Amino acid sequence: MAATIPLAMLRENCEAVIVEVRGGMGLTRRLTEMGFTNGTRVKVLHSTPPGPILVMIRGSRIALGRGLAMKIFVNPGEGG
Amino acid sequence: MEKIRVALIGNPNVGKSQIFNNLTGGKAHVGNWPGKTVEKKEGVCVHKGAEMHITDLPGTYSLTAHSIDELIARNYIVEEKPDIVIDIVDASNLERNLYLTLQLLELEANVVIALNKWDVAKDLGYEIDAKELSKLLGVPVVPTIATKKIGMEELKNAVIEAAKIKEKRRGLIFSYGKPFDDIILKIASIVQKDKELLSRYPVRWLAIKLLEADEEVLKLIDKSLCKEEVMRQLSEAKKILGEDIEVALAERRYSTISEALPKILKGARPLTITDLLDKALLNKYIGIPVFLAMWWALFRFAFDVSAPFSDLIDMLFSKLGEIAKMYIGDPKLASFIADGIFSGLGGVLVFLPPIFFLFLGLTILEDSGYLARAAFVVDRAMYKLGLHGKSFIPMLIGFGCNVPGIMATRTIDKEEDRILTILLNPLMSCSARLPIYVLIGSAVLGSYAAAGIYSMYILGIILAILMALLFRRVVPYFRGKPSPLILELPMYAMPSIKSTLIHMWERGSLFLRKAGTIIFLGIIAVWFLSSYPWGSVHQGDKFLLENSYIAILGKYIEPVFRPLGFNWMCAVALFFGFIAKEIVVGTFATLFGLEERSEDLSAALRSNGVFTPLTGLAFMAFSLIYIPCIATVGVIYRETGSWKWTIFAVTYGLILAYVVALTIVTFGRLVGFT
Amino acid sequence: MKQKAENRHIVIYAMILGVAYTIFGAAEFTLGIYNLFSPMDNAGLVGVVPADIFGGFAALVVGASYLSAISLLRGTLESWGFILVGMLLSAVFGVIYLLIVCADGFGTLLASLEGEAWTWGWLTSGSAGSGLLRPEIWLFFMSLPLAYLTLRKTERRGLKYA
Repeated sequence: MAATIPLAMLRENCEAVIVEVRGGMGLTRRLTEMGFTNGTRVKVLHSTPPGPILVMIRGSRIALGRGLAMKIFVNPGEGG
Repeated sequence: MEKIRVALIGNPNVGKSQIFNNLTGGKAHVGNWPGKTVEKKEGVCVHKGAEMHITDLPGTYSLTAHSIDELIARNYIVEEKPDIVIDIVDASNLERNLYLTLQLLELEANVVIALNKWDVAKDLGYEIDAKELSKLLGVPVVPTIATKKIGMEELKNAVIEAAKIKEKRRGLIFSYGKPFDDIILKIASIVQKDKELLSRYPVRWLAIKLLEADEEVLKLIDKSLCKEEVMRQLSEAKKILGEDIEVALAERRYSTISEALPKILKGARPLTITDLLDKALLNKYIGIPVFLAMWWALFRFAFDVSAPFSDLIDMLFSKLGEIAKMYIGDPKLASFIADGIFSGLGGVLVFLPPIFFLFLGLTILEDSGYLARAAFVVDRAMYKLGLHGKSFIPMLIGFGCNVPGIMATRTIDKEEDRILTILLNPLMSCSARLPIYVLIGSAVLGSYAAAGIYSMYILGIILAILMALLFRRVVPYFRGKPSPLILELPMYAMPSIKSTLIHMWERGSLFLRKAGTIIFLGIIAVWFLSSYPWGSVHQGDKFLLENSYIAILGKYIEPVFRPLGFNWMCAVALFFGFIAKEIVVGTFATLFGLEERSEDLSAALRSNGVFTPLTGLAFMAFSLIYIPCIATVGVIYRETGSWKWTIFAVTYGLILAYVVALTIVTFGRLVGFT
Repeated sequence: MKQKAENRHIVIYAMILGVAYTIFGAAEFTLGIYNLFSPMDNAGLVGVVPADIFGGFAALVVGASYLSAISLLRGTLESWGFILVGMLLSAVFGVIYLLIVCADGFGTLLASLEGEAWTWGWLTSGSAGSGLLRPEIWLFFMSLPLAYLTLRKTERRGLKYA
């Protein structure tokens, strides 16, 4: 099992691949609509805790609240 | 002439309104979707003998039943069945944009894709094969650059061509994977037994929505004969496919897009100016200060640059009033025209320049992409206060005027967050209250006037913070945390002059229509109540306000305000301030028979002992907080849809205002002021 | 390398502007606070630096952004962003203050139509503090060459305007 960490803990300029989205039904659905699905690549553009986090995903920049980013699990090992 | 009904749809930030303006020449009929508070924009475009009636649908990422915007868009397509749906896809953001496209195709809409921002995509180093995309999706794809009006002719041609195709596209566009496809087929075959549903809706789409447990579609099935069978199939499906069917289906859509993408899109994304700017604008140290500086710049622009225009309007209407008085014989009519109508019109139009300048500035900030960054940097602070990051734009607008500020809360998804933002908005000291501060400040605060005025704005902000924290904790409805931020940050772009001006005009004229009429009527009411009974008020050359209806009213209310040190004049002014805060100053002017903007009015307030520095400050605070003006109350009712909240907003304002003013006066007296 | 040297020149230019903005910003801010508690009649220093709390704050922000550009010397490409933002803000305020001076002029014109005497006072004092003498206006003009140099640089580097 590859090591997975919450997206919120990924450092700036790092890339990773989404492994699991663990939100409640509503949140998971919204995230999925925006493209946050398993196997998708994300890159962290801005991350200064405790503020929100900015990622590049599927070619667009999406800002996520930190709490939300804690519920998205990614595998940095497979990142660029 | 052939009539073609066209709907425009697309993700937020794709340039939809630009294309709408290009097609309709900027002339739009703006209204509301029936029964909803969402704006509906319609326009007409004539091309090659065809008349296209274009409806602008709300920008959305998806077509689920989970938000009003999505429902409106979806229902329009499904129920109204427009001849063509133009799906505006952002070429620089292709992957995610296609998600909506797939859903449109499932709705069996007659889609024409406008592949917009083609230039940006090229600059980013992308190469897009529009022909291949068209082949894969089975719909025409027209590359466009809306900001430069490129591709518009081709788009119109494509629409006319596509409208000629009458048979609907049916069947599989893409596969959801065997287990899903089988169940979708099964449910679809059950549903089509209901002839009515079959004739009105795409059956396969219904099946997919049922699997997703779509509330609205479930309601449709509820009244159908096939309901039982369908429900049975659905519970079977849950056992096979699991609980999270909606999410699974969404993921499948994206997989389809990802697989097809390499055939359509090539190229990489280099460092862009957006990345550079974000480095500084989202920086944890200077991000918020930059935002505060921009905010200050906006206000300087809105108020100081517009000032002479307001003066001009003021002058104009005073002159008109003088002329009226000179040439109209009958004193009552003359007064009605001069002091009533012209004064009323002047009173409304005089604050139009700041409002328009404010909207101009806001539109530039929004269209350039900066406003999303601002939401990003303030989100953390807002979250701690129990507010959503998206609450701040409405608050910001509220400093100009609460009416558009409250209307701007529509972008907030969660209802609790939205209503909380609406309730707090009136505490943002709107531009109408400024003349009150200036008048009283210069009357009794002397050289500390500026400090006094600043303190009102700060007081408003502090109270808003306190109320936010209080409501979150005490009011059961608001318990719980605000919903988390999910916000797309578009690329920075130079807003085009024409579309900015159009946006500014739309918002400004909306405000004018709503608030303007009410304020105008209010001023006439003030005139009437202060001029009658005519005989007792106008005795010879004198203007005896003490005898008017307004004075009687004031003296009646006075006892309530005496603990605060306000006399009957203040009571009357506050009473009329309910109609519009601007009228407070006008009321004082009428009471003394003077011009509103003269220094004499300040002097009169001072010499007549109406206010002392202490009571003046208390009055300023009271007028900040008490009830929102009637236009605002109206908007609160419209946006919340409930009397309960509207009354709550009004009541808590009154109570808070009284408490704060009383505190100021009591504290001041204790410390030694008079 | 020529590029490194050019970079260094740009950074120094930005630093100087940064320091200037910071000094004026601090001055305006302090004068503003002072004015609040013991109001002066002719608020302002030498008639050039107005007492302006928020304006001073804004100038400080511009200064901070320019000064942050020093990280460019460490090689991070994105630091150009600080110069760009500094330029942007400097332009925003420079232009707005200029507009305010024009508005004051317009206002004086209107007043003269009403019968008041025409004065030229609006050029050096008014809603924008010290009118045309306002530091932010001059610093904006001085930022323009920096803008030209920076934008030329970013174009050459192949940065896309997107």
